[in-house]
Amino acid sequence: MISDLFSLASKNIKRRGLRSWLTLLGIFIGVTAVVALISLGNILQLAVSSQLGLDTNEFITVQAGGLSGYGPPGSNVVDPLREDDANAIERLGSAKNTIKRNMVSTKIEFNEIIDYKYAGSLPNNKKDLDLVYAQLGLDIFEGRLMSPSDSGKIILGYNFYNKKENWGGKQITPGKTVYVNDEKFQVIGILTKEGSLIKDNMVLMNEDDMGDIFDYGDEVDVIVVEPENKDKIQKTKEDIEELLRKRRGVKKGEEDFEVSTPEATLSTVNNLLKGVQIFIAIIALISVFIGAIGIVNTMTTSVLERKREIGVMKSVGAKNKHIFLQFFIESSLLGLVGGVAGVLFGTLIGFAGAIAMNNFAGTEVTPEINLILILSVLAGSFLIGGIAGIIPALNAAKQNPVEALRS
Amino acid sequence: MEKREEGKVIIELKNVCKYYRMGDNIVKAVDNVSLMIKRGDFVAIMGPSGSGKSTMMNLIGSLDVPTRGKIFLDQHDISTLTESELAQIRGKKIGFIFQSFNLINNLTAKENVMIPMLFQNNLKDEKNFRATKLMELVGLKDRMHHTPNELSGGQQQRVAIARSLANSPEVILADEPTGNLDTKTGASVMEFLENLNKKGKTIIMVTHDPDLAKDHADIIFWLKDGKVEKITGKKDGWSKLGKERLKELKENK
Amino acid sequence: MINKESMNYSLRNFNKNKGRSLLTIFSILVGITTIFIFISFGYGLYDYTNELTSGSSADKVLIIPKTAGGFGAPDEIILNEDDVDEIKKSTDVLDATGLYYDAVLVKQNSDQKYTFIIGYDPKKDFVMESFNIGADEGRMLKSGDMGKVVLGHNYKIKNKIFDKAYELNDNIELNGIDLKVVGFMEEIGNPQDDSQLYISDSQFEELFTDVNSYGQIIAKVDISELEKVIKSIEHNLRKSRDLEEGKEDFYVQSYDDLIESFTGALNIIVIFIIFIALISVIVSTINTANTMITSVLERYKEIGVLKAMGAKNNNIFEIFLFESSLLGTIAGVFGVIFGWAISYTFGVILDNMGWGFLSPHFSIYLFGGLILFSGITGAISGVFPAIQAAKTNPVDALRTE
Repeated sequence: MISDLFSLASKNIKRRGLRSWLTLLGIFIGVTAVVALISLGNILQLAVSSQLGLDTNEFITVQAGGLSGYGPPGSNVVDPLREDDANAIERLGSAKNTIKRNMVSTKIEFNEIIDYKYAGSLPNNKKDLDLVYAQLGLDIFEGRLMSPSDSGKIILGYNFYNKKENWGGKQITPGKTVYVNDEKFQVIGILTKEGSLIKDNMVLMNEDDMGDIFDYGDEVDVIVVEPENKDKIQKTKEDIEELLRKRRGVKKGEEDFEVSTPEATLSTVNNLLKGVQIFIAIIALISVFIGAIGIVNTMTTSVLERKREIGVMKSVGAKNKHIFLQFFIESSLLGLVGGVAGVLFGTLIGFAGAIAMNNFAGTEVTPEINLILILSVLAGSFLIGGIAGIIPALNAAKQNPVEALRS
Repeated sequence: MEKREEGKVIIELKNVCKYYRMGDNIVKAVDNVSLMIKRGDFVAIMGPSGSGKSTMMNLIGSLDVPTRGKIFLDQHDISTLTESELAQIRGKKIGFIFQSFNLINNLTAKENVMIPMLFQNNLKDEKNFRATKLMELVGLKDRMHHTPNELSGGQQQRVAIARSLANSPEVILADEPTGNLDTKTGASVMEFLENLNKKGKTIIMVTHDPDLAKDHADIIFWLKDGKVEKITGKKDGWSKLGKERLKELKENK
Repeated sequence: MINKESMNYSLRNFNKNKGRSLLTIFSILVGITTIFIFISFGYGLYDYTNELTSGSSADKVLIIPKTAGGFGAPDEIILNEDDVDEIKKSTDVLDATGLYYDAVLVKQNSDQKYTFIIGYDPKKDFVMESFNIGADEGRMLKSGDMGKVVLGHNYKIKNKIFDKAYELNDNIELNGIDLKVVGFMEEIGNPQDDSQLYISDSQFEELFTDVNSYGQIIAKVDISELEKVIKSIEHNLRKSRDLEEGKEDFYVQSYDDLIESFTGALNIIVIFIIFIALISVIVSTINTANTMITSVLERYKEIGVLKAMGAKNNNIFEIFLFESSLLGTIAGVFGVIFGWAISYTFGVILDNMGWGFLSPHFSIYLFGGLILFSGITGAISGVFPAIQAAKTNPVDALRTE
């Protein structure tokens, strides 16, 4: 019965030719807009977080309290962390490895050209060094990674090598000399392209070298902690917090430091982006809403035009609910077909956007097919079509057969 | 050779054909018809269904163009005009009356009457004034502001007549004017048409009712299968003018 | 062209199909309202940034240290009194002073918040001039003020930053030290700036003992030769800092330049959003076309009658085009009215929430322009159906039942 109604519905839709197409077009455009924008928004989020993201995996990061949202870790802090803090954390049972790191904005000079980049420190012992490489997920493109004993050497992010137009046309390769804060350093390695603004523009040097040329004393910008047990990462976090609270003389809830586990690192920017995405999606939804109005219009007209037909159907035994169902399914189908086409096209646009962004902005995002999004949009358009058609369908069902036949 | 008297012949068809293609067949709706209608004639075009009388009316009324042949409306050759050019001419020279009245439902009777004037660039006041006068003429001044669904069939047809006179056309083309009316109302409509004819308007009536034709028309063209089979005159009260016309037409057939 | 009676005919047709006409109008209206709201807010932001550039910040030039990015106290590059002197020596520089800033921890009982604090020399009133703000309660800082602080607007509102509101002569704890509140800044209109703190330069040096550099230097200059001034400052600083040209570790920028880049970004965002709103307009155009096609179909016979009455193709075209334009125009009028109402309401709400700078601005061009736009889209959507109507063959049309 239902399948008969479905085929009848599709026949009726086809019968009205151009007008059905136009109605479909309306929903199609609206859904395409929503899906495309959400996909593009997701991609943007991925791109941005990969740009800003520094570390992941199963490491805890500890930073001093301040307005560090405006710069790298350690900027705008009120009371910085110090080496002693790192040493104390090291002694915790639930901390397997503790590494102190510093990050500084510094002057880089090559081929007589100056620029300002961030430099990060690398530990001077093998165990910690390997951990940092793992934490940052670094791979070498040309040359080699730093060894613990290296001094006067630096490794650079991919953009140093790639964007030779920034350096007067000369390419920075392993073996070349670069001046960091007016101190001479030799490049020993270029990292692979990460697709992240930060990682691709990073300068890494031995922490001893760093301590020599910059004078931050015993201040530490970020402490990276590898938990003893990956599954008990919360415990490690709590231990660190308790320790630091004691050391810094602050009460619980009044910490002037921040201990973050990977999940908790949803930066303000991410939230902002999500907010923006939702906002834009809502605007796009307006066009779907308008498309739905189109369905209401079309169905209302359809009922009027087929008054006689309804009369005929009733005279051969169709009940109210049959008439209702027929029109209801018709309008739902309109929504569904428009929705399917819209999802397909919208996803395509999402893909295209990802490819474009990768080409132009140097990101490495892979467009993903969000099944939940697709299914919910499809269900949504079917529903919207249905709802749009309820009143006209009810009107159709209510027709008095005698009057209807007279039309 | 045919005599075409200047200023007196209002409509002339010369070897007019209207063919339609239906699949592989060619339907000859009007097949090589020539005729003349003069100012002041009351003409009936008679014939059964399928005789081509509707097509004939469309051609005469400049609603359609012939496949072959020429049609002259007031000396102008309208056989090859475009739709818009035809519209211009027919708006000025022809008034239509239809079997199913064809009034526009959302407009009042008076507004309906004004419609033909809209397309002829008349001044507004003139439109109003004339429409009112015409409503008076057909005796429906008190119903000027009623919409068609508030009027009886007879009243609607009278409004249609008033409308047909909106631009003071020379020719009134009536397609089964009494077809949807009862006998009494129909008779009054026909009386009206006769009055118009007496005042000098050319009336061309298309009908399938021989009695209607014989009672009112001076000249009847009998159509069959797209051709003019015969031409006859009025039943009684035959005027001298009428007889001359008949003779004329028979000679020129 | 089209005359009054034809318009009357069209209007009658509207009334007959009220439901459908209203739905179509509603569909266009939604899009117009949305666009109106965004343009009015965009316009508001635009005016806001324009205000910033005009007047008191126009004659200011900023010197900031170069960094790899981010904002806040500089790591390694030092700007100090020597640099200020150098800048003062430059051509057409009337005065210059250094600004300190850093992050500070504000505590009220057990509540705490990190915020920015600015330290400046109160003698130099062009500093606050360049920010275009003044105190609207209490007083501004005086030369040599120690132990005193001026708070941003939001501190005097209960439950805004902290539970308790601050009042004049209260003490407030900054980095563990108490300072007395001597004034409140007027409301700027965004939570960020309205939670800022202001102290004198000497107080800043006491609070942040290891500070060794200004965050930026503001110079008051003669703007008639802005290019020359900037070049002169760059030259002098380069010399005194012993740097080669092209290797400066500082930026010299006029306030105008800064704001221009901000407006540029703003424009892009607003345009993008309006672009999305335009999608709704496209969909509503489709709806209108649909409605008109239906109308033409319904009036098929009627068109034949009109043509029999002498209507030319043009006349028919005009009638239908008029109808669709009318739909668009009516939708436009109501659209801008609703848009205005919603924008205004949002503006009031935002203002109450402290985001006053995001207020919508209106202009007669916005109203008129959108109405016209709506009418035109109505016309465009009706072109194709109107052409179809005009092409109706009267013979066929009259033959219909």
